Amino acid sequence: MMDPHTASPALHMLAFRLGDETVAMDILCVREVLDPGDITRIPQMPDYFLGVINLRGYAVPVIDLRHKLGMGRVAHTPATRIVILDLPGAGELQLMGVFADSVRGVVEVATDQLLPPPSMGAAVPQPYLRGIVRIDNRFVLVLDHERLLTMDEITGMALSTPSLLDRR
Amino acid sequence: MIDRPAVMRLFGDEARELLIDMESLFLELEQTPDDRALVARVFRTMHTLKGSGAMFGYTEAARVAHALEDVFDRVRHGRLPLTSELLGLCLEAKDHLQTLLEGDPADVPVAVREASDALMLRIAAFEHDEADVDDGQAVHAAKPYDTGVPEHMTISGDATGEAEVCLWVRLTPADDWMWRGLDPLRLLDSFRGYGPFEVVPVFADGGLEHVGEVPFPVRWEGVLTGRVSADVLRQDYAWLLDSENLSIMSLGKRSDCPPVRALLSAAVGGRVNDPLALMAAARAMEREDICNCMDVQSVASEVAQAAEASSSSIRVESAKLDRLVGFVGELVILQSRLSQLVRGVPDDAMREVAEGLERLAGSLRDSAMSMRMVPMGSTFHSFRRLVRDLAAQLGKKVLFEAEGGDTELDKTLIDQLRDPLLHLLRNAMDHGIEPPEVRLATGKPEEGVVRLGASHSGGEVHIYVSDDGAGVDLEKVRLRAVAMGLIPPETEPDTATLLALLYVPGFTTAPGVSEISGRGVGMDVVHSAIAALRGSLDMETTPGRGTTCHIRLPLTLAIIDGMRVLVGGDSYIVPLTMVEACLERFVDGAVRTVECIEYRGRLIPCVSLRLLLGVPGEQPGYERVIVAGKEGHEVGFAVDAVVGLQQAVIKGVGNLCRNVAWISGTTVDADGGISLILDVVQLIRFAVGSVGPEAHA
Repeated sequence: MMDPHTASPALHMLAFRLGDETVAMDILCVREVLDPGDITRIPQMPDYFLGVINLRGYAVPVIDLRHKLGMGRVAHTPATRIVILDLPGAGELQLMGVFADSVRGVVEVATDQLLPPPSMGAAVPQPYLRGIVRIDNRFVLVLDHERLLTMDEITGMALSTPSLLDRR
Repeated sequence: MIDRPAVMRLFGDEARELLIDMESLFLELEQTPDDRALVARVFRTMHTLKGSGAMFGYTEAARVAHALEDVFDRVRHGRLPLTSELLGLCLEAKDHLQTLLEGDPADVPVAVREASDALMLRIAAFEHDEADVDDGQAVHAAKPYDTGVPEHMTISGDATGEAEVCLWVRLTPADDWMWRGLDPLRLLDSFRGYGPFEVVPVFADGGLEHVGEVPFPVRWEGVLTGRVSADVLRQDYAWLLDSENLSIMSLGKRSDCPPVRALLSAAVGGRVNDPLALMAAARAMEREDICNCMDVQSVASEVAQAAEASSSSIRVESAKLDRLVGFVGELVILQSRLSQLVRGVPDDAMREVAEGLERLAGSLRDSAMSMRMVPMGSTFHSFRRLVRDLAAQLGKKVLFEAEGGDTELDKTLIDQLRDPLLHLLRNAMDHGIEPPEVRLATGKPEEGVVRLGASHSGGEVHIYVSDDGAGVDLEKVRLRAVAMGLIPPETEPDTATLLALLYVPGFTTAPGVSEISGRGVGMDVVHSAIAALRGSLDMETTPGRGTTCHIRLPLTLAIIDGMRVLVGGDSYIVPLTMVEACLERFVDGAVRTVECIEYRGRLIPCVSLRLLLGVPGEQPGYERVIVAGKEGHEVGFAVDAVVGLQQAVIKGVGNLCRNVAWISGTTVDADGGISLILDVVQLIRFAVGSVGPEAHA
């Protein structure tokens, strides 16, 4: 246990697995963790976009984070979960679900344990990383939820309607 | 202490409405300056504003309103002609009053105070112009308004056209008046604005001799003689007082009324406890005969009417209403889930309950939705002012005509429609209507006409903005499009295609950037705003004859009736208002995304939703075709199966749906799944565009 007087402020993060990697995200952006249910496909979306789920009457989009980060696809097993994230959007929060191969739990690390991400060689592309921490002798990649999926990306995900001119 | 903010809110809302009324009256007067009834209404509005403004401490506003009232009093008596200059000044004064009412009445900045002085001097100047002015009046206008109490005034008959009547006024203060900042004495004084008002206080236990506490009247009884009807008086105070606080009864014409004094002594004597007894007592005192049944009846019915009039509408915060509609939406979803579950249960009693609930949920939905429906009139009205000011700014003569102001539309929709309509009107004024000299040269009347109209048609609202101006210069549009590289130089696109170019972001034909428009952020914004409301925008233009923009909108944003269809494993909702018919087709071999089918002797495009939306699975040999569309623009959509009707509570997917072509939203199904709502207008546009005119040949 850390000495509360000398330790720097703690970060609470949700750790989950994407393939062989353990990644973590700030717990403050995690709304809840769900068992996967029915997903309604939305046409004309990129293939990492899986569709929408019914979250107590609200339609929440779900993406395959592993696929989006170029780490293969999430395998549907009994351990598969959907992590619902609050993404800061244009003035309002946008809920977004991401698939995880399994959820490990909440970990606590001190702020000064968060090291800058390696410039290369990490399984996750560097722009999506906030840093890296060492937990139980393993490196855990900390994802930057703000950069994971920008609002532009969400709105730009869909192909826009073919304009009149495209059709001629 | 008085709860000041609550008072401000109470007064603020009403003052805003009074100002809106006043503005529309001014604008109407501009068309018909001789309308005496309108002048009388303006006068009354000002008077109310002045009285209640003073009562709530807005002395500065009351001062300005008082000056205006003076001028209009002279207009009312025909001593001052109502020129457009005077009306312009009145409109300015109205804007100034608005500024004053929005500010803190206790702390009016010096600059604003000076602005009121300047304004009042200009108003006073109108009075000086008149030969028969009495100097007291003119000076009075620029003098600070001091007491805050409307002074004694008689409304002369020629303006209002009402006979002199006798009214019984009973004012019963409520316990919370002190907290609301309402002073009964000032209220009573304000009645004097309508005519001579005799009033007596009524104390508990019938007199002053009650010992031990400070006597305060439990109510006041008064008789007002003047040329104001009971209804008007009730209206004037309806915003302030509930019917139990203020009751007004007509005692009849003044000539056949018993002397006021006698009435009042009857009140003090405690003989007047209810309205019926009042008349009976009055009659009995004056002429010994007993009042006849007719009179009693009329008083009774009038009292009943008064109660009805004041309870027929209430103000509700729109957020509360939104919440209610949200709950009703959830209820509707649950109800349809229940209906679906019960379908397979052989229990008649349970089915009966489900059916009853279905009916009830339907009615609840309709009435909750209707609560949010408001007429478009007030929005139209605000545009009238815009057109007037813009015309002056542009040096153009424009007549603004609005029709269908009573067309009702969801309040949220109206709010979101304001900006697009504003853009269209500005466009019509700036690009459409030509300057007067050009119009005269082309043989048109000097004054251009801009029309704004709304009407209901089926489950839709149609709104149009039209002008009789120059129309869109299609050649200029073509050249500009070529210059921007949007179309190849040698093509000659048809009118519809050229007009559609106007929706391209950044596209403008205006030679320069003017203050009003021409920055290239116009039509594309309008187009996407209307599309976001699940509506459509069409433009028609005739060179030299003008342009009409036609907007079609769904009545509401929240809940629609839809037809649920299945394609592969996916479920989609087609808005029922768009559904025309249901056909079938047998498919042999591969299909194309858009083909043609026969419908009522014509060939219409038929879109395979399976191909268009990329639904995985095998193409079935037998498909249902939903024919959707309106007025000769029908398009068929091939689907696997039609499930049936469903009330769809529309849920957006945040910003996600905005760019997803052909999907306007999502809804939660009875089984807890999610269906996508098809954007039929977009789909039709796509289908018609990709088949082209040859399909109709």
